[in-house]
Amino acid sequence: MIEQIRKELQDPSDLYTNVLDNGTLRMELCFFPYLCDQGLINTELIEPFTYRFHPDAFNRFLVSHPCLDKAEDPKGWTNLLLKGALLFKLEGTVYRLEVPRKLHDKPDSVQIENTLQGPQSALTEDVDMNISLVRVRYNEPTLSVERHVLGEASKSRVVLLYDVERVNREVLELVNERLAQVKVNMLRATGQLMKELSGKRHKLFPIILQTERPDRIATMIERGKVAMLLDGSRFGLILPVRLFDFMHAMDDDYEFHWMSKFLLILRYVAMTLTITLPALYIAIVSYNPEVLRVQLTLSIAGSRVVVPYPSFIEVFIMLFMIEALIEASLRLPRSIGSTATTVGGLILGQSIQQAGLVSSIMIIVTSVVAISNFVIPNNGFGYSIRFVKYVFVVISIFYGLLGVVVLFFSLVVYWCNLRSFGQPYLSFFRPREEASVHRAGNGANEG
Amino acid sequence: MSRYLYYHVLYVGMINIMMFVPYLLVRDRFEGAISGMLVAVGISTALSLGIVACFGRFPGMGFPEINDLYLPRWLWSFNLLFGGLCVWLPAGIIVIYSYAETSRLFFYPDMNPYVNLFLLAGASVWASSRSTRTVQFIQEIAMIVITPMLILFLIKAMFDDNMDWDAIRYVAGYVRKPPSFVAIASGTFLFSGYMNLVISNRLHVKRIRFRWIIPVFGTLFLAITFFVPIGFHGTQGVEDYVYLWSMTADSMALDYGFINRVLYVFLLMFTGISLLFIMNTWHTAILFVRYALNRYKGVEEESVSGLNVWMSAAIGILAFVYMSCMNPERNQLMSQLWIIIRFFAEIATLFLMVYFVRKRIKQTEKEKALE
Repeated sequence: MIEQIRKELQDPSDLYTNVLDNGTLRMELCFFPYLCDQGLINTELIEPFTYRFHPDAFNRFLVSHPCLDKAEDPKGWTNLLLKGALLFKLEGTVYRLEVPRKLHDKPDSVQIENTLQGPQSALTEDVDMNISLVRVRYNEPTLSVERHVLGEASKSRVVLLYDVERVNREVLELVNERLAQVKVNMLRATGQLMKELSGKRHKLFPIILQTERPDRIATMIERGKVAMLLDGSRFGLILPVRLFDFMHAMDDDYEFHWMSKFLLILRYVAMTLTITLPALYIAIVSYNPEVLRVQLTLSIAGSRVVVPYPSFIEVFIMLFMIEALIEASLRLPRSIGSTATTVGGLILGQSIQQAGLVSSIMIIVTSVVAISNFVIPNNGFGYSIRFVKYVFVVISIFYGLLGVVVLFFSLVVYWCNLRSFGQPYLSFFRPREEASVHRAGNGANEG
Repeated sequence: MSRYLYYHVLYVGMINIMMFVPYLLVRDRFEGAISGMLVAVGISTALSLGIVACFGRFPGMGFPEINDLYLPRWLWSFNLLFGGLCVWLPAGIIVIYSYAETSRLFFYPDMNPYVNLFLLAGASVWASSRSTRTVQFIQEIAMIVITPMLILFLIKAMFDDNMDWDAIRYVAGYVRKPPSFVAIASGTFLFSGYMNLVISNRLHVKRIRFRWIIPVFGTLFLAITFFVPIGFHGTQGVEDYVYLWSMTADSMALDYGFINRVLYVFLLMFTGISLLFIMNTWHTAILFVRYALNRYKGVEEESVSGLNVWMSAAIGILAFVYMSCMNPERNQLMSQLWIIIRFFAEIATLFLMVYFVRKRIKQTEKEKALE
């Protein structure tokens, strides 16, 4: 066995092979020490082997051990080894012992979707750990865990989680269909999987929600959605989703009712502001100053008396600045990050206005846009909103206020036209349970 | 869900402003508009309740399929093509022309009208080519966005200090004049949101409840659309304006907030309402023609069929052609003509539907007898 494996794997230096003899039995074994948990190997195999001299006793041990199994197909040997199994040969039979090394043995702490008073544990990069994190929170016998393997080279494990009784069957069928079509070589992140599953490549908005919170996954499963976990990624995917799900923070479920409803409305207002404000600035300054009341128009006009070029150039300068600042502070080490924001935000913001390159109202517009954008609780959705803002800016250059309003209508059309795995992306009625409602065709209005 | 029907009733009740209904009514204010409106309320209540009840007999079926069941092919094709191309399609085109001109006049008078039309037509073409279900969702979201503005606007109009109730009372006194036909026809238009059932009934499988909303809303809007301008401009001054309601909106001022002139709230609100109306009429026209071509009756397409897109693009081009042939006076004539054609088409629809329902009842009786 050892020779064959060595040959198939091109004689790697990190493969450990040995022949053990306890006086009565002879055992060939091989494994990758760095992929396996060596403590487990000692307690589960080496110690019994050393102390149970009687072949019968050792055989009973072999049959009864839960992690032990025969590995009769020689073709699968290398794959098993690479997944962190140990192979040993005893009296002509090859056995495998699953002892993969666990890099993560406790839940991560939340890094992106912070809550104030909710659970602070997040998914880890280990899929088994993640499944148990979800199971702890959604402790129902109906929870189904379905395994798939995707990726030619990475052979990543993808796990589907859903409640058999609550899940929408049509969605599940569609997911399985799309999973079967996925063709990637290396599957490294859930974002990749999200792109593959979304169908069309050029989507403006995400139709799958990416989250790091097991409690969010559990609530969504309870509502009949499908969750997806990928080995090696500390994010889970949830589908199908609606626009409202992206605007929902977990805090909303934990804080008291009216305040969370108020915050929800605030988020929608912020979203509208961040999309339309730069465009409205252009529209008001360059096309329709008469829309606002006179005093306000005068103060806007007064603030840009010194600015020598049309308003849209001003907007582009400031939007470029703020995007560059966000992009820079995202990847900078933390120690330099604060310097960058100070330089960019405070010093540049003030002096650019004093230098007369940009009006002071525009500085306010820019900061409102940036702050409002960060109010959106989901990162992926926030990105899309950040992009859509530019479409509005462009239309307002040509059409002013009317253009902004018409484009907003078109955005609503776009959202309503989107489907997340056959389910409407934006519709006012939001079903609590996925399975019972909003089927296409007959009964579309039954909900 | 019954509420989807009432969104139609709501925005059609308001779109009359772009169809020059207030102008037509005000023109006849001393020659039978009041009595005409009263007659219109009566006729419309009968028409709307009758047609909604008839459609209730065919749950989940649109007008095209029902036609197909009981009429020979040439007749139902004619019905659909006439309905789609001569009633639904022109409605959207007249409104897009009126709104494009209105908005250009108030937002940027020196812009090329075609460039402005391009914006509106682009959005409408895109929206109207979507699937029926999508169109329904758009309706709801758009109405939710518009409603706060609408309520603000209506409250503003009713409680404004400049409103002269005496003028309204004076005009209302002419109720004894014999009704004028144009007033009846244009009055009934405010109720005709329920006509959208011809397509959207495909999505209604349950009984439609709260039907009294249709006559109540229609009457309310009819009263507002006719009396408020008279209250603002007086019994004589009111006939001086073509864009009557825009001028009425401009007579009001908002004391607080960013915007001073109510006109702009009004225009922004009507951008939404006009686009909704155009989207729905064109969508209905497209689906009528599609049914006549290949009997398509789906409500949901994940990726929209090319046929939809091409047809709505063609309609968009037609809007440009219409603009090149029209000026505001001719457009006004066209809308008057359309209102009258629509009036008869609605009555014909009622008779057709009653005929279909009777056939259906006979059929089920026969089936029962056979059992």
